[in-house]
Amino acid sequence: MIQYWEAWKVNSGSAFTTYKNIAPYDDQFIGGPKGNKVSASARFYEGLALPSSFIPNNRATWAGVLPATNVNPRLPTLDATPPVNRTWIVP
Amino acid sequence: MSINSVPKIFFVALLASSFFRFAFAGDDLMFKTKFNSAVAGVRNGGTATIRTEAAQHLAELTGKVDPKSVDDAAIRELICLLDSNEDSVRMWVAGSLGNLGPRAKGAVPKLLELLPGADRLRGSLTSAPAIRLALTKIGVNPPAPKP
Repeated sequence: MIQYWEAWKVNSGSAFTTYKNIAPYDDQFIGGPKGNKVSASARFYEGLALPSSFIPNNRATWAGVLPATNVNPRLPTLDATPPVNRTWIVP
Repeated sequence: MSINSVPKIFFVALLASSFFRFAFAGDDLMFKTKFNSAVAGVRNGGTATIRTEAAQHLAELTGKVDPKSVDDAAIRELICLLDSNEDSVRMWVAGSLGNLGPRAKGAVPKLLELLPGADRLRGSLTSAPAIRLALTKIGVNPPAPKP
């Protein structure tokens, strides 16, 4: 099992990630061979300073250009939204 | 209105015109200073995060500037930055060129050259969609990804 954490920045006052005008999407599910199950959990963290363990082009993850880490950053959830959970099966 | 007021009005208008020209020149200088600083950050930043953030700053700058005011040297600089071996940098630089629209048509061959390699990369987000969007903004129909 591969487990990693990836991040998107949302500028103050914006409802979109910073990738909005650069790419038509800022995330997609990818996940190995047919039938593989991918589980994702997302939260919005207000005012979070991203730990330096999040790096772009991190080959230990499948995040691509997104800053990501495969070490649990143990982010404080005090100022975070509840998680939004999704599951995707590779078609 | 007396005849004497005419030269005064003309003088005020002339002053205003000079002021606005000065203001626009100041904007250009501000853009060039920030642009050159961001380019240096992409080239010399000590970590992938710093280089990527500098490239992101280029996209923010080009997103706010009038493309007509960006000179050829700046566009050539951006095209050179597409040679980065970091996909995150290439993505933001492609976005920067896309922000300049048809003004960045000189980047089309390089963007088309990069696209097949970008399509082979796997990830939640890669430079491929950014390159396609940039080509579209420049005025070129990008090729579809090969299955």
